[in-house]
Formats: sequence, structure tokens, C-alpha cells
Amino acid sequence: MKPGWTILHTIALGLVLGGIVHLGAVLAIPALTRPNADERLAALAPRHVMTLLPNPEAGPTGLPHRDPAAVVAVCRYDLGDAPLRVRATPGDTFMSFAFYTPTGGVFYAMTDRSALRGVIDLLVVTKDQLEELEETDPEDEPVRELRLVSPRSTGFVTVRTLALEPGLQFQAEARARAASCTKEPLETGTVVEPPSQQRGAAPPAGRRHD
Amino acid sequence: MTDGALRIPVPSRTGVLPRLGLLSRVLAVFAIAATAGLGGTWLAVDSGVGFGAVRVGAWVAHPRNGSVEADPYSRAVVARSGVMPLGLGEGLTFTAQRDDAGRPLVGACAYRVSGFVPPTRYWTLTAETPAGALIANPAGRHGFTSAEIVRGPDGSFVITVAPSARPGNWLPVPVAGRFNLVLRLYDTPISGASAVIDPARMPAIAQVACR
Repeated sequence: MKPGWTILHTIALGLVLGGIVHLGAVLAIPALTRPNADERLAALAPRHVMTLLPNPEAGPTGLPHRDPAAVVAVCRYDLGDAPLRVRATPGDTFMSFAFYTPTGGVFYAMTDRSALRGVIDLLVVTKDQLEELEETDPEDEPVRELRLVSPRSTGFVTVRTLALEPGLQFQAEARARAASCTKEPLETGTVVEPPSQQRGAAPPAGRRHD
Repeated sequence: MTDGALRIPVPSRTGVLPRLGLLSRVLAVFAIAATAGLGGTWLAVDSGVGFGAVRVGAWVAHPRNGSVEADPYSRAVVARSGVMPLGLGEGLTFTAQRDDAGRPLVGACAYRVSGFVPPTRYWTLTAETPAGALIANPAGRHGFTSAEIVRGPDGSFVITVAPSARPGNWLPVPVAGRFNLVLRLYDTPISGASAVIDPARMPAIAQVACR
């Protein structure tokens, strides 16, 4: 209650607080936005199945900003039970892969140029699952598969192919559909449970399912 | 508690600025904070701000949107718009909301999009509404790809963007309202904010005529 308190002080304090509100709001938007990217896809694609998205059509849709020449297959995943195996055989034609968090942020992307002998083969894991895998890795052999740590236990993978001419739509769809994603449980039978350093982030196996 | 809120501000001794009761001050501060904070957020996200934008002529790309380096503003914009951005390892998306002279792209005008495209394995050029919807048209054409575009002897192309049919590469747009042009480069060596793109290697967007 200083005698010098004026409207200018009120406005200044309001703007400072407003700045804090602004930063908090910007940071909170991805988590608060409904539906988020994963929820937009939920109506179109079940989890753990590579599913072709419908071709983009004119007019407003639930999935804006699509390329009409791109065929997109999506696989939504939940790593709560098991890692996710993603396989594709792009051959020598364009095929690209992107890995998203549920809010639509990309955490990894690659094209068919990263394929080894024409095959893309990778395992999406949580940090805990990666640690568990590394404990069972043979010491004298290099790991041959690409392991990708997902920042969240849920997310989705997209496979994009291009129908560069209208007549090539069918082939592009067939190539995207041939990509697969399956749950691949860890072979924990012979492995001693890792020390109990869980941060409570990984839900117990078997609890989550769709 | 409530009497403070109901108290009418009394003009201060100086007679210039009224003095407020404690509760009214607190409420005023919160009101300003909420208005400025949330209003600023809405404006920022609505205008699609983000750090690390790459601008070449009328074209704008946000390479970091396709990577883990996306800043909080970009993340908010991506989350609100519902776009699934191309991963940086997949390609790069350029959007033009204006022509080279800085005028908004509108269906009332015709445009000549011409020239070249930066080095890339494939590209597509698409027209969409500002909300990201494709535009219905009798020709059923929403864009061109690098494979189907008709080029000149030097490899350059000309696309006419207009609501009514034109000879050559014609890209239909709505008769009224604004639209955006989207250039997607698939599997391009251009990546990241460090990318230096020669403007002469990007398609020029020139207004031809308006109704």
C-alpha cells in the first residue's frame, strides 16, 4: 500500500505477470490441445496396425495440410507392453518414415536411402526397454538393427510414398501398405530384472492395452 | 472482502491518476495479465510464429518443426494446426501466403509461378486454403509433381494459378478468398536453418491480372 501506487504500476505488474502467463500458455498448448495428432488419427487407425490414411479430398478434414500426391500409412503405438518393430522393403523408390510424439512433434525421420540391402528394419523402444535390450546384447557382435528411443510411451509412425502421377496411386498405396509394424515383446525369460531404478514412468507390462 | 471491489476509484491528490483499492488493484493486475498473456499467445500461435524460419522470396519453411529442435512456439503452432509436419530427414515444406511483391494470394487474381526448384529428389506444388484444406475444382487438380509438370528446354516451368482454366500447367484456386501455395521437397539435401537457398532456385510468384 505504497502511496505512490498508480495505474501505471498496475499495468506494469499486469504485463509482467502476462508475460509469465504467455510463456506458460505456449508451453501448455501441445499438451492441452484436443484432439491432438494421435487422437485425430485414432478414428482412422487402430494401434499397432499399419493403416493407409484416406486420400486427401477437397474441403475441411480432420487432417489438414496434406499433400495430394503423398500416400500416407500410419501406425499408432503404445510401448507400454512391448517395443514396436517397423519393417519395410522400399526397393529403389521413394519411401520415407517419420516418428511422432502424440502431439505431432517429429523425433526421428528418414528415407529409403537409409535402407540396408533394400530393407528398413527398426525397433522403437522406451529408454527402459533399451537398457533391458542392451543387457542381453551379445558382447562380441555389433547390433544390426536400428533402435529408436521414443520420448513418450505412445506415438505414431508414418510411412510416406509418392504417387507422382495419378496412374501411380495404386502402386504407391501398395508399397505403403506393405510396410509393417508389430509389437515385439522383449525376451525377458532368461534375463534378471534390471535393478529397481524405475522412475515410475514406465507402466507395468500388461496393464495398458487397447 | 467485496467492499474493495465495489469501491469507486477516488481521484488521487495529484488529480491525474485515480488510486485504486487493494482488491481492485489485484483484480486489475490479473485482468491485464490474463488479457495480455492469453491474447499474446493467441496472436502468436495464430500467426504461426516460430524460430529458425527459412525465408526465400515469398516462401517460408520451418525446418525445425520436423525435428526434436522445434521450439515451444513451433510446437504450439503444430499442435493447434493439426499438421503432421514432414520430418527433416524426409523433406522440407515451403509455404507462400503472398506473391513476390508481398500482396496476399487471392482467388480474384491470376498468378504466374515460374522458374526452378532447389535440388531435390522429388517435389510437389499444391494450392490449399489457409486452414490447410484442398480446393475443390472441376479439373480435380490440387497440385503438380516433379514428374508430371511440363517444362521448357532449360528445365524451367511455368504454372498459371487462377480460378478459371488456362492453357499449359494450370493450377485451379477458389474464385474468392485467400489461398496458400505449398512447395514440398522430398529427400532434399537442403536441411536445417543453415540452409542457404539461392532465390533464383525457388519458383517466382508474380501477379498477372486481377478481376
